[in-house]
Formats: sequence, C-alpha cells, structure tokens
Amino acid sequence: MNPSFRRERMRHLTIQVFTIGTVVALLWLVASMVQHRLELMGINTGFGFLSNRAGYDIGESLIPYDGDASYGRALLAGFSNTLKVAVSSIFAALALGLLAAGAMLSGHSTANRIAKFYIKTVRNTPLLLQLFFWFGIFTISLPAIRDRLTLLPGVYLSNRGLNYPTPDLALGLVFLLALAILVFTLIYGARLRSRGAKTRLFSIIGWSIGLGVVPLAATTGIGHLNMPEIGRFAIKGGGVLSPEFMTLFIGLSIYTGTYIAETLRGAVMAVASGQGEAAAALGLTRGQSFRLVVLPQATRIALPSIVSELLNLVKNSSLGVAVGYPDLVSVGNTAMNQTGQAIEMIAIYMLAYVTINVIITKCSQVLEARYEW
Amino acid sequence: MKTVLTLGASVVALASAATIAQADMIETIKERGELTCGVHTGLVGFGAPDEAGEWQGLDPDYCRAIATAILGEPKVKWVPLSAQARFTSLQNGEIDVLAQNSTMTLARDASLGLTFPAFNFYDGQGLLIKSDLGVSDSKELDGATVCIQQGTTSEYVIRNHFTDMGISFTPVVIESGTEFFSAFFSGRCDVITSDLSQLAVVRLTSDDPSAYTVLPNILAKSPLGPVVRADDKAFENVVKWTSYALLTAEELGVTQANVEEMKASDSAELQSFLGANPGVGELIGLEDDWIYNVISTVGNYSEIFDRNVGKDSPLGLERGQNALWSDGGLMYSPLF
Amino acid sequence: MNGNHTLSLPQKLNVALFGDKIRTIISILLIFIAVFAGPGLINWLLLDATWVGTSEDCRVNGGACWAFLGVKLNLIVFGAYPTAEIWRPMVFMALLTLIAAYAYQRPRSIKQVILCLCVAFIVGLLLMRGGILGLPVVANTRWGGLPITLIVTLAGLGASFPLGILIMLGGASENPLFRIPCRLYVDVIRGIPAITLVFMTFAIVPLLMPQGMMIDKLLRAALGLTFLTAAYFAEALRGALEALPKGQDEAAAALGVGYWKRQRLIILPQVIANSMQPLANIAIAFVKNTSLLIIIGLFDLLGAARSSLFDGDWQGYYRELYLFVGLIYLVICLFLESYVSKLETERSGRISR
Repeated sequence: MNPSFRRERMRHLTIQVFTIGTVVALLWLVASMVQHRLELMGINTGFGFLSNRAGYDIGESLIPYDGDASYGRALLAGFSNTLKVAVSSIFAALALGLLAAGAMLSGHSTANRIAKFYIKTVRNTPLLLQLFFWFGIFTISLPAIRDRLTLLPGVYLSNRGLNYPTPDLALGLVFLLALAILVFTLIYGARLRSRGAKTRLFSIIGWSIGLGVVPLAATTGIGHLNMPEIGRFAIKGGGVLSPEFMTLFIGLSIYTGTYIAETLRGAVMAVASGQGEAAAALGLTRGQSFRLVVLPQATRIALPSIVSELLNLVKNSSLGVAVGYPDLVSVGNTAMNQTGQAIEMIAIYMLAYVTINVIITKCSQVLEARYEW
Repeated sequence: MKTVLTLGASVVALASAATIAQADMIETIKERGELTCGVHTGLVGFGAPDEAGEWQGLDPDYCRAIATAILGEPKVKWVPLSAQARFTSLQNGEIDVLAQNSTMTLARDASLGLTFPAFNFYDGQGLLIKSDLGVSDSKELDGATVCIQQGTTSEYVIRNHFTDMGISFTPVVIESGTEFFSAFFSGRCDVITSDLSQLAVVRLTSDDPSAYTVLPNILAKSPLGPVVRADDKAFENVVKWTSYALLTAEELGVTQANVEEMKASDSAELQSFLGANPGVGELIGLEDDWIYNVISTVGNYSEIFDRNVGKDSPLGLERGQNALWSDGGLMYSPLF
Repeated sequence: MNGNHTLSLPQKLNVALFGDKIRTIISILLIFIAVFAGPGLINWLLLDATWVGTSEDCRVNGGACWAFLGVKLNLIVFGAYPTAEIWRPMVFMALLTLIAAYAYQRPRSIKQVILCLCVAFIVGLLLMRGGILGLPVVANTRWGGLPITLIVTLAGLGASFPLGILIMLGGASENPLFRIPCRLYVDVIRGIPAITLVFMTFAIVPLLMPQGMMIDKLLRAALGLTFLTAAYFAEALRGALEALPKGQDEAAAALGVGYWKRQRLIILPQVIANSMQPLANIAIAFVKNTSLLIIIGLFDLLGAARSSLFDGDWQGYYRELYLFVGLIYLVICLFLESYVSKLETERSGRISR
C-alpha cells in the first residue's frame, strides 16, 4: 500500500478515535454532573431499584406478573403490552392502508373521494386528540355491562371491553393440530403440483381431516370453550380486550393507515404508468399485470417509507399513557414516581425503543434484499 | 486548532456548571419577590383556580402563609401540577414548595431527596362506589374494576388491601385527573380509590351526590402536607414553623380579626409569639413579626380549614382528626 | 376508452359505478354502508342537534350538542385567560390570520412574511403578557388554548429549522468531530418517542442548570419539541443534499468561495427548495405534536379544550368537542399544506419562465 495513503488512513483513524473518545467523555461528564447534583439532593441513583419489589398491579400483561414482582419485571410486563399493541396495530394499519390505497386506485370515484377524505382529515389532526376521542367512544359511549352488546354468542362489547370465549388447553391443541394439517396440505400439495403430480385426492383427504378434527373434538367432548360469564361486577372467564387496548389499537391503526395508503398509492402510480402498458402489450390481463408486474415493484419502492411509518407507529404507542393503557411508558412512569429515578427510567425507555427500531430496520433490510434483483 | 478550542470551551462550560453553589432558598425567594408553589390542577377546597385565576383552598393558603412569613406579603406564583409530575417539578427546582395533597411515605421522604416538614390535613384512603350496586363494604368487591390515579400512593395501598383480604380486582391506572373521574362516572370502573377528602369533593360536585357512596373502609392513613427539597434546612424550618404557628394561633385564640389587639395585649406569651418582643424571627432567619403577618393575612388553622373545606365551605367537612389535640384531634404544635 | 362522451349522464354513472366487477362490488358495499349508518349519522349531526340552548335542551333533543361549544368557546380557544382581557389574544390571532392571508396571496415575498411573523410574534407576546401601555400583567401560567399552540409552533419552528440546518451541515462535514455527533444526534432522537423527549426536557434540563436559574415552563416545552424537530429537519435536508451534484460545491470551492458563503448562496437554497414537501410535513407534524404538551401540564389548544369537559352540567359532550378542536387543527395544517404547494408551483413557474 502507498505509504502516504496509509499515513492518511492512520490520521483519519486517530481523529475518529479521538472524536468518539471526546463524545463519550462529554456524555460521561454531563451524566456525572447530574449524578453529583442528585446526590447532593439526596435522590437515589443507579439501576439497583430494578430488583426491588414494585408493589403495584398492572391491568393487563402478556407475561405473568403480580405486585410482588420486581420493578424490572413490571417494566418487562409493560414492554410486553407495548409489543402487543404495536404488533397488532401494525397488521391492522397495513390492512387499512392497503384498503384505502385500493379504493383510491380502483377507479371508483366515490370510493376514491371517501379514501381521500379519510386520509386528509386523519393525517391533519393530532393523534392524541384522536386517541381521546376513541377513549370516549369506548368508555363513555359504549353501554355498561348490564346493557352490553352481544355481537356473537359469547362475544360481548361493553365499556369494560370486548369479551370473547377462549379455548382451553386441550381444545387449543386441537385447533393447532387442525391448522397444522391444513397448512401441510396446502404447502405439500403445491409442491406436488409443481412436480406435475395429480393432487386432487391428496387435497380432499387433507382438507377433510383438517376440517373434521374440530367437530370431532366438539362431539367427543375433548376440551371446551371458556365462555365469558356475567359476574356481579365484571365479565369473568374467556378473554378480554380492554377499552384502553382497543382505544390505542384503533387509534394507531387508523392514523398510521393513512400514511401507508399514501405511500402505496404513490408507489403504484410511479410503476403503473409505463410498466402497466408494457404488460398489457405482452398480453397480460389487468389483474395479472397488477399482480405480477406492478405490485412487486411498487412494494419494493414503498418498503423503506412503510418501514419508517411502522417505526413511527411503535413510537406513537407510547401515547397509551394518556388513555391508561399500561405500556412501557405508563408502567415506567409509575416506577419513576415511586422511586424518583427519572433519568434511569428515561434511559430505559430510550434503550427499549431504539432496540425495537433496530430490530424492525434489520427485518426490513432482509426483506429489501429479497426484492433485490 | 479549532478542535482543541471547541473541546476546551465545552470543558470550561461544563466545569463551571458543575460547581453548583448550594443556594439559600430564603434569600432566593426574597430576591425573586415571590414564592413558587406547586398546587393541584383543580380540586375544590384543596386547591383550584377561582374566576381570577388565583388558587384557592387549604393548600394554597399554606403557600400564602409561607410566602407571608418570608416576604411579609402573600406573593405566590402558582404552578398547577399533575400527580405524576409533582415530585419531579419539586426535585428539579421548578417550584419552591409543593402543596398538592401529598401523602408522606417512607420512600418519598427517604429516597426522593424531599422532606415533609409538617402535616396540614390528616386523611385516609377510601373507596367511592355507585350506590345502586348495593355494596356496603370493600369485602364485597371481589372481581371489581378499580380506577387508580397514577403517581399516588393508592397504586400500592389498594393492592395491599385487596391482597390481604384475598380478593381479586382489575386495576385501571389513569394519569390525567379528568380521565380518572370521567372513567368512574361513565362506568369504566366500579370503584375509584383516593383520599377520603377528595372522594367527598368528587361526590359532592357530581350531578347527583346520592347516587354515589363513600365506603366506610379506610384502606390506609394519608397524612397530607407541604413538601420541600431536603437540601435546605433553613427553608424547611420556615415551612415547618409556619404550620406550627397556624396551629398555635388557633390554640391561643389568635384570629385574623383580633390579631391586632392580641399583639398589644399584656400576655408575655402572646407578645413574643406575635413579635412584639424580639426573638421569634431571628432564630429561623425571618422578621420578628412574621407570625403576626401570617395570621393577619390568612388567619389561623381553624379559619383556613373552615373557609376552604369546613363548615363555611360547600364541602362542609367535619374537623374530626384534624381538630386540635386539646379537642381530641391530631393537630399538635411544639412550643414557640 | 371508446367515446364516453356519447353516453348520457345515467349511462355514464352506470359505467362509473357498475362498469366492472370491482366497481360493482365497491358500489354495493358503499350503498349498504350508507343505508346502514347514514340516517343515524345525519340525525345526530344535524336533525336532532341542539344549536343554541342549555344542557337541558341538549338532553331532550338527544343529538349533537353544538350549544355546548358556544357556551364554552372562550375556555376552549383561549384557556384560563381572564375574560375581560380576552381581546388581547384575539388581536394576536387576527394579526396572524392577516399575515397568513398576505403570505398566501403573495407567495414570492417570503422574506417579508418571515419579518412580519417575527414582529407579530413579539407584539403578540407583549400584548398577551401586558405590563405595557397600562395593560394589566397576565402571567403566562394563565395563558392557554390556541395562542399557546401557535406561540410554541412559531417559536419552535423558528428555532428548530436553523438548528436542523446546522446539524445537517455538521452531519455532512468531512471533520468527524462534527459529523459523528450530528449523525448520532439525528439517529438517537429519531429513535425515541416524542412524548419521552418532551418529558425529558421537562425533567432533566433543569438539573443541568445552575440552581436557582429556571427556564420558563413554556420555553422548556418549546425546547423539547425543537430538539425533536431539528433532528427530523436535518434528516429531510440531508436527503436533498445527497441528491445534489457534488460538482457544484467543488466548482465553487475551486473558485475560492468560502465554506459559509458556498452553503448560503449555492447549497442551501437548492437543498431547501428541493425538500419543500418533506419540510412541510415536518412543520405539520410539529403543529400536531404541540398537543403533547398536555403531558407536562401545559394548556395548549387540546389541553384547554379538555378542561371544558370538567363541568358537572355539561358532561359527556366529548364528541362535539373533539370534532370542533380537530377542525381547528385541520384548518391550520391544511393551510400549511396548500401554502407550501403554492410556493412550489410558484417556484416551478419561475424556473420554467
């Protein structure tokens, strides 16, 4: 290697090391300054409190939690709730965005106008305001348990949330088994077909076993559904989606759906203008050209923006604190209040959200690589 | 060169910021000419803005008393704070004193860098429920949904209470005061838990007080009082002895109306208490007539109590535990 | 494509609504929804609504209670500002509206508009605060509602845009001492929720100040949103900067033009013009983010509006309230949107000329 070039590289490396060192030193200085100030004031510092007993309950959690567990566990429970609402809203927002984009591209002028109205109004008002609105709908406007709405047998909607029956362990396993058989039938059938084998008989057997397992289980009495039952105060048994969860879920999905719809529409328009005509010239039908030519390319164009919208959705889920949903920030704020350790808590929030960011960004990079050609 | 300069400048800036002098609160307040007081965002009787935007209530009157003790006049800047933000605001110096229905607990006193110099209201934590549920005791609440306000002691008190009785419940923790009460009235939860005084206010200001019942259970003691930072003993003393002065004034029969003639009376006790003889101010760094100023501005404890939450107010609470020790209550002041 | 113009109107409608399978399905769905939800919605919004009257009238009529908004209008729009002095924020709002109208009419005079905004901002603050011209002082703890939202927006955008430019330039710098911290700043800030950042400036910034020195709550609130928005501005501008041909900068440098002069005269004008749309979106996001100030106990438009819900007589009219307040935000954001697109058409018109 050319010695002067090597020297240059050495110089760059030195500067970089020096810079990083300076930044770290500055951050450390600021941190120690704050720490010193806090010690003067007699406020505890450090992360030792995470192993102390939390002593407060959390309304809902995906992981087992009760008030005797530690603050660390409480934060984990809050984080599980953040993930729960974020993941479910991501799917709903994608579906809604797809629907609205479809309405705008359908060539149906009324549907187009409705979709545009939805996008304009929802995008231009604060999400927090929308959340307050939905919170009102789910807690004030929905009827009390006594006057609950029965959507399906065993599915109740009231201002205590959406109650639904859940299968017990045995029935749950039966459902999983049935699902596994159906998936196997589909995938293996497709593979057989691609080899040119005749699959009709195979499919019929697979489907009938898969679909037959559940009624069989029901008639022979294997497992049963936990039906919600009306208690004196609350509906017991079965599962429940709390009003706070539904508020956040609906609010986030509707809000983020607008951004996804706009992105998708833009991407499809960008591809469709030239490529659609080319595909038509090749004799593909409109549906074929959309499915095989336009959509794959549009997805690739839209992917980075969609990912960044989904990241925003995750960050916005922290607004749950305003409507009483026990997400990470809400649970953490209680811990912050009881221990007074604001700086440590904020550091934990940052770590959690930056971690989610990194994970989603990595996933999208993998996806993007698949679309590379 | 530029690099070195930037670095040097930042180090100097940080170093100068790091040598924070321990400020003298009393001096600071005198220089500023007003006391910054953290109050409730709106709880009638205990701290709520009137039409003119001045805060009225038991806690704001304590702020006025403290301001008068230091400044000679009740100059207070009001900072309304949510339950969640209140201790942070006190810790970071945004307010001088927090008078917002705050319960003293070991953790708050020991680990937040704060201290509770005195109590101005002995309260208890209770439960409010809709009358038509026909519940008369917390034992019957198995399976109920309970709304809890975030940042209060209720969050763990309620758990201890129900766990001890072997009863299960679903907590709904809400940050904002507005949503907290509206969640109860709309039926999102069966019960709300808070300090009994606060529940009484909520019940009385609702559209139909008879539709709601405060259960007889007292889940925990709630001694309420002003809070200050623990790093200034002199200011802490001012807050502490201002509270005691209000009690002693009641004990000695000194009121806003008669404070003038009491000061002129020939009782030696009254004379030194109200600053006719020197001594009472110097020890805690105030003027000698500070108690006289305080009483002539806000009155004694019973006047403050009656005016805001007691018999002369719409709330009409009994003195109960908050009576003087000599009347069988808990209010007791050391000697001046 | 075969001669739609020869069809009559009903025929055209028939094609538009039932032309192919997809359109037919959508039309049937829409008709179903309209029949199902339409009458109830119209009844609530208009037919059963109470326009003026008391809470009693509202309960009797059962529809939307627009009267509630009339009664609470001052509280919703201006918060706890003293009623006798309410003309002061009104004058401020009127001033801003005039400037907005002027700006929209004359998209070329951006410099004048910015100057006017600065003047109006200072005049507005003085007017709201009082203490001059014999006006009584109104402490800023009593300010609330729309003026707070607009003050924080103006101050925050005014501060975060230059800051964003500096961070962007720092991030593009050759010198790692500037580049690394700037990039790190942008990445970290964009990674955390706005609400956390707002709370952080609320809780931690005072700890970094010498004791006894306290930044005003309003200012600190604007500060948190400013830090946040600067990172987004920097990112949007960086995108435009990377799209710019490198040759321009190098040519100017070869001619001996200094760094700042190059940025000011050559780079920034193009970068800003090319990133108009993302910049506008960030500005709109700022307006919406001001609603987060509720979290630290500031009565912005949304906060003031919510305080009107806390009245025993008028309970449960949250739908009317949020629709109305949403409308105000909508007007502000749509104005920004259309102003920027007007700027863009004006600019493209000028270039092609």
